[in-house]
Formats: sequence, C-alpha cells, structure tokens
Amino acid sequence: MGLAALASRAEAGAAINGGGEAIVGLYANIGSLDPHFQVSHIAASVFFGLYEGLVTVDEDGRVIPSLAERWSSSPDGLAYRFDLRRGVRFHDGGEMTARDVVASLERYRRISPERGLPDLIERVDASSPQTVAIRLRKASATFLPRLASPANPVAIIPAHEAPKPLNQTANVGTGPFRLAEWTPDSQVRLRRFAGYSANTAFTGPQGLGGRRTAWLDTVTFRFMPEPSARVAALEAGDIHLAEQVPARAAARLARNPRLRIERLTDFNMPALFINHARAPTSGLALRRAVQAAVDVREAMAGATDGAYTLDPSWLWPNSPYYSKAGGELYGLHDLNIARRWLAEARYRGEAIDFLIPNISLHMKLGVILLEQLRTAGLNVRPVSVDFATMVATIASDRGWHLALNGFRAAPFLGPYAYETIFSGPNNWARAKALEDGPMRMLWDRFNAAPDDKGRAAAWAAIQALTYRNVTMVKLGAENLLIGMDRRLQGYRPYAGGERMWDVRWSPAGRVPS
Amino acid sequence: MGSPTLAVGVVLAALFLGLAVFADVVAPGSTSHINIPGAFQAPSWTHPFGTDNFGRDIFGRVVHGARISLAIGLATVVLTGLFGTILGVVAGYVRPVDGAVMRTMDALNAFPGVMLAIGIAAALGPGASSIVIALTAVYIPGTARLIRSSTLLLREAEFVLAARAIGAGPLRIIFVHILLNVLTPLLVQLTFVFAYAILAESALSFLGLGLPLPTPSLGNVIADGRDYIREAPWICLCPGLTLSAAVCGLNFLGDGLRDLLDPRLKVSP
Amino acid sequence: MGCQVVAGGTGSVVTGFILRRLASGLVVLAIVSMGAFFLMALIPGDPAAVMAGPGASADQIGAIRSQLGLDQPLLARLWLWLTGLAHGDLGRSITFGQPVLQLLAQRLPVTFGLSALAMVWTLLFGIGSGAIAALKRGTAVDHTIMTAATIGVSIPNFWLGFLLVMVFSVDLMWLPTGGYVRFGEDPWQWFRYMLLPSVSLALLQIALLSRITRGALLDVLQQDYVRMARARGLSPARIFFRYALLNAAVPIVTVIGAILSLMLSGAVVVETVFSIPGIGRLMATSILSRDYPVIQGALIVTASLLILVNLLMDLAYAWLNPRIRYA
Repeated sequence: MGLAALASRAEAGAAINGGGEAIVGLYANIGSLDPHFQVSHIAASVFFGLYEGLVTVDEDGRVIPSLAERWSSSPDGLAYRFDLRRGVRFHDGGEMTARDVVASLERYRRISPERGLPDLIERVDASSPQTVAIRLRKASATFLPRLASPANPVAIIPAHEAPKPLNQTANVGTGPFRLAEWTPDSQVRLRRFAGYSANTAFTGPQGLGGRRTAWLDTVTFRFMPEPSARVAALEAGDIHLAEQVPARAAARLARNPRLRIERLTDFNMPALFINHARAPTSGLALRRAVQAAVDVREAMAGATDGAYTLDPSWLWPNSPYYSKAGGELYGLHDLNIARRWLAEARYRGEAIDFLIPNISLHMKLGVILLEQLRTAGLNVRPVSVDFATMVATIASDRGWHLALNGFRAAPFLGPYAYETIFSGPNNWARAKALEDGPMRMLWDRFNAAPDDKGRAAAWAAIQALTYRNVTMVKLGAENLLIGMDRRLQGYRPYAGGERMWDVRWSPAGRVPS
Repeated sequence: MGSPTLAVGVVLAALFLGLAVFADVVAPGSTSHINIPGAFQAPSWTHPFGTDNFGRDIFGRVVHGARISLAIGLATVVLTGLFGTILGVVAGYVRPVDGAVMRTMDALNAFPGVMLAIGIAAALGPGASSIVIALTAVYIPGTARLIRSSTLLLREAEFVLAARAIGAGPLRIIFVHILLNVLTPLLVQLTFVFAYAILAESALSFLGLGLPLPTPSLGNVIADGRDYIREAPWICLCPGLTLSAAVCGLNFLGDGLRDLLDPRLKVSP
Repeated sequence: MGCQVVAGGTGSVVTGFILRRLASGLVVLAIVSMGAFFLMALIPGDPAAVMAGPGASADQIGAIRSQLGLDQPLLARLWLWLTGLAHGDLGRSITFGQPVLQLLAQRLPVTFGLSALAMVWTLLFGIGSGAIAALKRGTAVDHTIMTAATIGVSIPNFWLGFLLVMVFSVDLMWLPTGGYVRFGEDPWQWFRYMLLPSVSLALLQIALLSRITRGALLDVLQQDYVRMARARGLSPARIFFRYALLNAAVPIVTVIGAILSLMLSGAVVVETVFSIPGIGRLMATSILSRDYPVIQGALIVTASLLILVNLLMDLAYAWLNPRIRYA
C-alpha cells in the first residue's frame, strides 16, 4: 500500500491514538492456523490475536476468565458450569453463544492430538444460550489449567465452522484481530477487528487475556527463519520487531538509537534426553556419569552467546511451585565424579548414539556437549537428524541413547504438564521404572493433594527424583532477545508469543517507512 | 586460452590437494576443541582465519574440511565416471537398450539437481556416503550422455568399422578403441564434476543436510558462520574464499586440460 | 535429447518428431513420478510425527497418521495418488492443508519471476561477454572475461547471497534484505526485492553461458563458410550476426534447458537465503517436514516444465539448423 494511504490512515489513527502498521519478523514458518491443532508454539503470535477460549492464562500462568464470565463447579468436582459473556462477536459477524462453545469443544475432541483434556471430559452441553455445562469423568485439579493451556489452546469458533476437517476452517475467531491475508511460507497479515468486544471485567491486558485492545490497524508477521536476515531487516527498517535476535547482534543493535532490545529470561529450556531402555544408558551409574560430566555453564554460554540463565528447576521462577530440589546434582561438571561413576558402571567404551536435531540452538549445544562427554571418557557418536526423524526415533526404545530437545510450554504451564513426560507408559525417558513405582506414587500424591502446599511438596519430591535417577538432564534457560523499533509502545515480551495487542506507535513516529 | 590457465589451475588445485592431504601437518590438533572464552577472535598469527563462536580455530577446520570435501568430491567423481561410462557406452553401442537407458537418464535429469540430492540424502540419512550417492545420481546423466555421444560418433568412425571388418568382437572394440578415445573428454568432464560436487556438498551443508556434527567440511563451516556475518565476518569469509579458490583451481585445471588434450580428441589411436 | 542425422524434413515429419518427443516425455514423467513417490517412502520419519510434535505418544501419532491416510499400505497409497493425478488432483499439503495444486500455483509465478529476471541477466551478460571474448580472442579482454567467468562458476551462490546482502542491504541500505512483493502489486518494488536474489542466482549461469558462447562462436568463426564470407568482403558485423551468432545459437540454445534446470536447483538455496516464497524453498522445507504430496506434486510440475522446455529447445535447435533432421 502506498505511503500516502498509510499517512492518511495515520492521521485518522491519530484521533484514536492508534493506527498504522507493524511488521514482525518471526523466526519460524507458520504451517497451520487451525483453531484446534496447535501443538507447538510456532503459530502462537498469530493465534492469540485471532482466537479466544473460555478461559485463558495471566502473566504468571494462572487461569483467568476469557469468553466465560465466570464459572462454578459442583462440590464433587465433576460438574462445571460456565456463564458466557454476552454480545461477543465473531469475525464473520455472528454472536458467540453456548452452541458455538459446544461445537468447538467437540471439534477439539475430534482433531487435537492432545488427549489430556478430551479424556477428562465426559460430556458438554449448552444448558442455555449463555451457559455451558461440562461433566468430567473424574475430578481433577488439572481441568481448568488444561482448558486454559496456551500450549494446546481450545479456540472458540462459530458452530458452522466446526464440522470442517483439519486446516480447512475459515480461521474465524473472536479475537481483537482478524485474518486479512495468509501467504503460506511468506507472511500472515492481521487487521484490527472493529467489532471486538473487550473483556470489561479487567482494567487492562493480562497474559493472553484481560482487557485487550487492538491499536494497530495492521500487523504483518513475516516468516524469516534466517537470524541474520531478521537482524538485517530490523536495521534496515524493513521490519519493526525481530524476535529471537542472536546475542551478539543484540549487543550491536542496542547501540542503535532507533532500536531497543527487550529480554525475556524464561523462554526455552533445553534438556538432554536419555534413553533408559537401551544399554548402556539403561544403567543408573552411567547416567550419573553423564550428569556429572556435563558443564551446563559452558554449554549454555557457548550455545546462546551469553543469553542464558542457570537454574535446576523444571519450572520458571515465577511459578507457585518453583523448587530447587535436586539442585545439588545440577551443573556438577566434575570429571572425577564422572570417572568414578563410569568405573562403577564398568563402562567398556560401548558406543552411545547422540541424536542432534538440525535446530540452531541444539546443534550448538550438541557440539559442546559432545566434546564434554568425550573428554569424560564416553564413546559418544553424534547422529545429525532433522527434527522429524528425531521425534520419530525418541518415541521408540531403539536407535538412540541421548537426544537434545527442549521445553517451551511445560515450565510455564506447571507440574501437571510434566506428568506424562516423567511418568506413565509413554514417559519421555522410555523407562519402565517410571511407569509405576516411586515416581507413580509421587504423582498420585501430587494429584490427590488437598492444597497448593501439598502439591508443592509432592512436586519438589518429583523433581528431586528426576535428578537422582537422571530421568533427563536439564541444561538451562535460553533467554529470548527481541529487537524492536523504539517508537512501538506498550510491547512486553512473553513466552507465549508476540502480543501485538495494546501495542501502538508513539505519537511522534506512527508511519513506518 | 594457453598454458597460463593450466598453470594457475595446477597450482591452485595442487595447493588445495596438498592442504587436504597434509591436513594433520598443516593444522595439527583437534578441530573440535571448544574454548568459549576464546571465541570470536579476528584473524591473527595464532589463528590465521580467526576463531568461531565455540572458540575453535577456523583455519584448522577449513584445512580438515578441505580434506573431507576432497574425499567426497573424489568418491563422487570415481563413481560418476564408472557408472556414467558404463551406461553411456552401453547406450551408445547396444542400440536396443539405448532408449530405456536414456529415458532413465532423462528422468534423473528432470529433477533439479539440488532437489534430487536433498531427497536422496534425506532418504539415506546423514553422512558422507549418502552425499556421495546423492551427488553421483545428479551427475551421472550428464556424463552418460557425453559418453554416449562420443560412443555414437566413434562407433561409425573408420577405424572402428575397419576393426569390425577384420572380425574384432564388440568387447575388444569397446575397450580398446572406444574407451580409450572417450577417456579424454571424460577426464575433462570429471574435473568439472569434481568442482560441482564440492560446491553441491557445500550447498547441502548450508541447507542442513550435510555431514554430521562436528565434522567440518568447507560447506558447513560457512553455514555455521552465517549467524555471525555482521559481527564476525571472517567465519564466513575465509572458508568461502578458500572454497571458491579450490573450485576455481579445479575449473582452471579442467579448462587447461581440455585445451591441452583438445587436438587429440579428434584423432584415432 | 538425441537428434540423429537422417534424411527427411517435412511438416509431417515435424509432427511425428513432436509426437515422439512428447511420448518419450510422458515416459520420463512416469518414471519421475514413481521415483518421487518411492523416494519419499524411503525417507525415515513421517509427517504425522512432525505434526504431533515432541512428546506425542505413539497413539497420538497413530491417530494423526490415519487422519492423514498414511497408515495404508504403500501400493494402496500409490494407487490413490495416481488416480488422483489422472484427475488433475495432486492431493493436499499435510502441513498447510491447502491443495497442492493451489500451493504450487502460488509459488510457481514467484520462482518463475525470479528465474526470468535471472535469465535476462544470464542472456545479456552471458552471451554478451562471451561474444566480446570471442571477438577479442587472445587479448587481455578475452583473458579477463574468461577468468572472471571461471571465478563466477566457482563461487557458492548462498555465500554470494550473504555477501550481497551485507554490502547492498545492510551497509548501503539500497536494497531490501529479503522477502517478496508481487509484480502485480508494485513492479518497481518487485524489481528491488528480486535484484539481489536474481544476481546471486544468475552468476553461475552467466559464467557458464559466457564460456559456452565464446567456445561456440570461436568454432563457428573458424568454419569455412565464415572465412569465405570474409573473403567475399562481407562486413564483420553482418558476418557476425548473420552467420556466426545464428550458428553458434545452436549449442547455446541446447544449453538453455540445462541452465533452467540449474536455476531451479539454485533457486532452492537462493530462495532460502532471501526468504522468497517460491517453489524452491517450498520443496526444501517440504522435504524436511515430510510433506509428501507437496514434494511429489512439485517434482512432477518442475519435471514437466523441464521436459517441456527441453522439447521446445529441441524444436528450436532443429529450426535453427536445417541440417539436423528429425529422427
């Protein structure tokens, strides 16, 4: 669009203290905007501008109302009742009612690969146009957190869109932005939804909900997987916000008077996955050797060029369940201890297959960890794989001993997100011992705990156990650095994606060049 | 183009070859030794090409990488030469199978080179052998077609007709007369295949399908440096210049060879 | 691409030639499709695992797999795909959900535009420099051009792309760093966005064409009929354009098909460096995400294009040189 058009819109926007276009450089390609199939964080930046759910999360991950005005549950915890807000409109003009909620939940049950929530729900009914009744199969403290989860969100879409199969809906939601254009592998453009009903129960935006306002007329998300391209585009003024700026570039960009750098410390938690089902990593002593040999400081420093923090917890520090239990085994970096464990394991130099996916951060971590483990005396064989192959391989007992992966959502969602990771038949360590036994008992204790204090104690014990039996090795926290045009006001970095609502151009520089 | 080209080509190629073969002497020590505090050092006497983001010596990685690229290129060339020649001679000499063979070659050719290489490399998994097989598949059609054309021409050449007239069997004709004459254009072609293979391997590494970590190759050293192209341009520049120089040398060599052997292409043994 | 010297050369023979070439083209296409399909089947890991993401249980992956129809036996899938192909239906992309044909229809013009611009540079500078080198054979100009050409085929195109971006986009800020604007939307911006990528893409081809042009022209300039023309006193310009270029066009035209293939190949890398939503980048990312329908569809389409182009080149070749007849 021409400069003149932008300028006149800017003038109009000046009247409402908003307007203009912002261009965001995303680090990944968005493949799917399906309202019920989000399994990774990739589309989050766009998703939460388009869609809303019954409930959502605030800055600290607590459940807050969104499309539901309030909810109540029966004393036995099996029946929930959600009263919906009135007058909320969809992007295609229809009004949101209980029928739409029921249809959306049904589609979620049909389509989402995430089974935790659907398995909990027995039935969903619209007891009145403004009320939804949900009956659970069993009482669970995780129901509301799951319903609010930003990792597997349940978007409310019009009932007439619900019958459509995967990736074929019209991408209609209730969010402050609507979809203007989507060029796959290139960009997504959102436009302010004039008919948006802000949630007046709040005074301002909170996390992914609260009272949201779209100030910008248009937000264009460009897919730019090359970090140097994102940085170059930001410097040249082609984009206004670049996510995931490499640390070295950030230092340089910070000196640019036109730009500013934002930092989110709790972004990504890389971890070294270990296969408990295959020798020699099936032996505890060998796993303890690996745990002792790893120098998390060197690994994180080298892989993130300094944008990292070290912490033994599987949760982010602002979680109510945050604990340092088991931390005495974190970041040991003691080759003597490692060698002693190797001796105890009677390690004879058996080959250890280390899967390293072709993701920049993991490749760097892999290179460093490989050296560290080899120096400790382990015969590690690196296997470079693409992400698809790694995912397929670590779902089985064979073909790997070590693998590099990470957590974005779980540390944010809370302990319940780790239940199927650290225990149960599909635990990510492929360990028989984690299916039942002490770990199972601790999880039962967590689920049955009557209050937060009980749950926190159970979680601390779980975390300590993951260190003692080396379920997997936590490496650290990767910080997120965002470079942006100084004139964009109101932006706050968030682990759940770029929030472009309540963001506006400062009066001085509204028109992007 | 006279001897200066051949000379320059020989010098560059020999340099590249020398570096690769004597890698351990020129750059002793481990190429994967991590030294985070020593990262991002600009080129200096101790580190002629500087250090990368892990503190590794880039010169050492380039030299060892040259060795691996050389090995991959050589293996590709040998296999391409072998199978390309067999297919080309068979297609040119044994008329009934000509159609089938050339259609298959056309089919291979119809895939854009990098696409075919990516597909095969992805199917076979990462590793030097996958890259070699993938690149061989890409270059065989060209070689086969060249050999086939030469075979077709030579088949009707007077000395071959004469040999047939005196009762020489097809195998003898192929080996003694045809192959010998086909050798020179083949050699020139293979020099260029060598150059392309090295470039192609670097492209595959750039796209993420190259050699497994932490093995250096000319391609993946450049690819690793692309995140730091502003802050530490030497990580990308030095290996890139080396790669270009090596490939350039090979191309000059090929040109020179062709000019040298050119007059003899048209002469019978 | 075999044209044999045989007696003949009338209209019906031309049609026969075209038909024969088309027939062999179809055979090649069939081999290509089978090859693409089975190659995909060989690659380990599958799109269901990618879509399910890490930590999905085997059940979840299985559920997605049956949703996508991937749990059927190989031959059944092959049959389904072939029948769909016969109806012009290339299936649906697994990652994008859109019909493959639609995806390709969006991407092809982008790559086509990029390649077309690159082809303009290639023809202009490739033939131009090659002709100059041939005419000034043996001089410093000739040596400079040929050396530059050799250097040109030696530079990796992604490296060149980075260098160009560094100099022209970041330091000088004359041109954008990447991305794409449609020609229909704004021709001037399209050109600005395509300039650096097309140059990165074209350099290898310019160098190649330059060498080939020079070689072909030199061959022709030595031929008897040219010497005769010179002896008869025809002006050099006339000789050049009438005889030399026309006859040299033969090997040049032959190589254009190969150049196009090289360009599509190079487009994969260049489109990645410059974040251009073309068919090259689509194929690269689809391979990594195991999006079989897209890969198969794209391979078919690009192969068909190349086969078609080769056919046109054969015809042009035959038209240019009346001594070559249709076999």
